[in-house]
Amino acid sequence: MIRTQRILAPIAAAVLLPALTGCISVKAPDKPIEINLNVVIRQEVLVRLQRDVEQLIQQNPGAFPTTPPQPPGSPQ
Amino acid sequence: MKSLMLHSAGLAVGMFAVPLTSAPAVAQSSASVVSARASGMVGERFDGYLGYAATPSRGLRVQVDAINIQRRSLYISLARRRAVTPQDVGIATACQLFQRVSVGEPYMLNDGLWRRRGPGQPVPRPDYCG
Repeated sequence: MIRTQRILAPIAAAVLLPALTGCISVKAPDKPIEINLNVVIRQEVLVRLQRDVEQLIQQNPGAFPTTPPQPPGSPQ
Repeated sequence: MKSLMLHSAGLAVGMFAVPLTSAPAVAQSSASVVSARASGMVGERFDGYLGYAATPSRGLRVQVDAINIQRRSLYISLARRRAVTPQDVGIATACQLFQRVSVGEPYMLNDGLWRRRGPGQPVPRPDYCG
């Protein structure tokens, strides 16, 4: 029984440790999103998406910054 | 088309490895990205992401990448709702973002070249934008 534990313990550690560190080290990838110039542009899809995209931009100013931030104290 | 699907699959997998950026971090990056765009370092790309027209500082790169990661997850979720690809959403978004390119700001069309909007020039408007 003890012998089995001696054999199993390192195996268990080897399996569990990477799993644990894998959970902890969640971070953004270092590589930027790469440019793919070979995308197929489907005009009819783009036209259909225009309204959705307008909303997307308006509702997520953090992701689509345009104007400089308002000075502190000024109305939004 | 096949490569397009593979590309979107890669993006979808990547999304799950990334935590959502906190609101203060996004607000901070917005300000630096706006000034980086005005100074010609950073610009909108045809695919709906921000790109580097010049080599950025490490700090700027971190902020631009954070914005792009946020955009990617927005594109993926809208693409799911509309049964299109995230690339379609990105390109449609770029069509609108190009309309907001100010004089002096860089932008990249689908030829992969960086241009700067000169004084008196209209906003970039690719034909496919309709």
